[in-house]
Amino acid sequence: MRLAVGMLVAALGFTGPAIPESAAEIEGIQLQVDGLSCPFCALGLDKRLKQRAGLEGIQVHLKQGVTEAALPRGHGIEVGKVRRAVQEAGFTLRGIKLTVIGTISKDGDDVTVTSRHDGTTFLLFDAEHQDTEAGSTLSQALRQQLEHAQQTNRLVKLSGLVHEHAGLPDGLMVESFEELTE
Amino acid sequence: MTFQRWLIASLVVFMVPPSASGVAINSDVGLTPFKGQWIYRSQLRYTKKADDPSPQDRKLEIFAMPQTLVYGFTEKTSVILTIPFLSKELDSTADGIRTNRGDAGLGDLLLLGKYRLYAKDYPTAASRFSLVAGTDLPTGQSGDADARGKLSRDLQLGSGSADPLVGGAYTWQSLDDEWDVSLTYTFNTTANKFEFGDVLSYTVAYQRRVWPFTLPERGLYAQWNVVLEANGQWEQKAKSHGGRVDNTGGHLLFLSPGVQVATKHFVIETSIQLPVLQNLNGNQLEPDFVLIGSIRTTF
Repeated sequence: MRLAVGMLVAALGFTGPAIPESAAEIEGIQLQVDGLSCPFCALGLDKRLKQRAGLEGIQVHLKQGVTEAALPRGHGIEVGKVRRAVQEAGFTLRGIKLTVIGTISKDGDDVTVTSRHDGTTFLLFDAEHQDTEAGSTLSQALRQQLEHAQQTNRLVKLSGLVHEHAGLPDGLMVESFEELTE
Repeated sequence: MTFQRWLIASLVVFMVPPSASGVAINSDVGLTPFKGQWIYRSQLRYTKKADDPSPQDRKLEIFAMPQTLVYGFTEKTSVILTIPFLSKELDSTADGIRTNRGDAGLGDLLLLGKYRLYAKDYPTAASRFSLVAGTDLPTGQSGDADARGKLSRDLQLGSGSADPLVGGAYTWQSLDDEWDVSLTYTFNTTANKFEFGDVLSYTVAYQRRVWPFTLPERGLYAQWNVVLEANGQWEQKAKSHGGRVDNTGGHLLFLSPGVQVATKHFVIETSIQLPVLQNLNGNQLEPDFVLIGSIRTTF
């Protein structure tokens, strides 16, 4: 139901109640790439991530099977394009882990972090709270922390795996949360 | 088994692409290049055939320089073009006189398409199976002559015929090692009233990283691999004027140890093919060894 309402809202282009201006920056992108098993293969990942997904500063760590990348200033991340770039390089994207700094917004039950510069919004989920009891995707403890950050308009630092939602903002499965003091 | 047939069968594996690490040196692999990837491979293959028990005491030396270009249209589909430059020289004795004959120039082009049929990725490992099909094109001279007359088929640069082939290759690759298995069948056709026998090529290759012994936690590294391959070729007897031709066809199996260095941008490698099984029909020159040096680069 919550997702259906969200999709309807997105389809109508209705952004809901005024969301306070936020400042979200994606500090780091870590791609978990399966199938990466040789140095000679890494060039393809480098090229496709730059050309198709617009990423830069790409560093492949073979032993860990991960690739670190950065976004050009002012550009948001498009998970679908990253997934396709990895596929075109001949590999499989298992996951994208992001570290985001920004401010928190609330729209009904949904809690999001949104970029001031490019409009990228992540719907927040709790990695420790997968059963979505009572329609909530966040544990009570994390919800309270996020709501506190929103009320005080404090910057937060969130890290976690990103996943796609049809018709909704990408989801960020929060693995770590930190309220920043300015 | 004439050198021309043996070379074409061997060229099939020269396409060894690229999306590949290490990859085997003389064996085809299931790996395919990424979308938009170019790979260039330059090889030098020196073959020596001697040890002729006949009074002719023939000695054949062949320098082959196959130049291979690979392009990935998608991550699944690629095209491979191999242009071989050849130089052949045969020393033999006739009527007590030692003579030298030979030829040099462009051989038969090999054009192949490759399609990745199966792919399964794991953390730091990959499993791939690809199909390959194509043909060699009669761009090499097949009727060259010298002052003594027309050269024998062994010394011609081309077969004179377009010969389709099909095959498949499987690869398991991890950060530590790699297995490759491939099978290719070449349907030889008729040219100048002569048809070489069909060729079945099979390979099994194992590759092991020997340096760095312990992988660095972060980044890329240059990797040294040792490679051991078994490269086999079985060829039917040739046909001419409705009958089979003696002194053609047979079964060859090489054991091929090698070493290679692989980095993000290039692979340099060397290998020696040593015959461990030479079951050739009739009176044919048997290869003593094949020495291979190769460099691959990608862009």
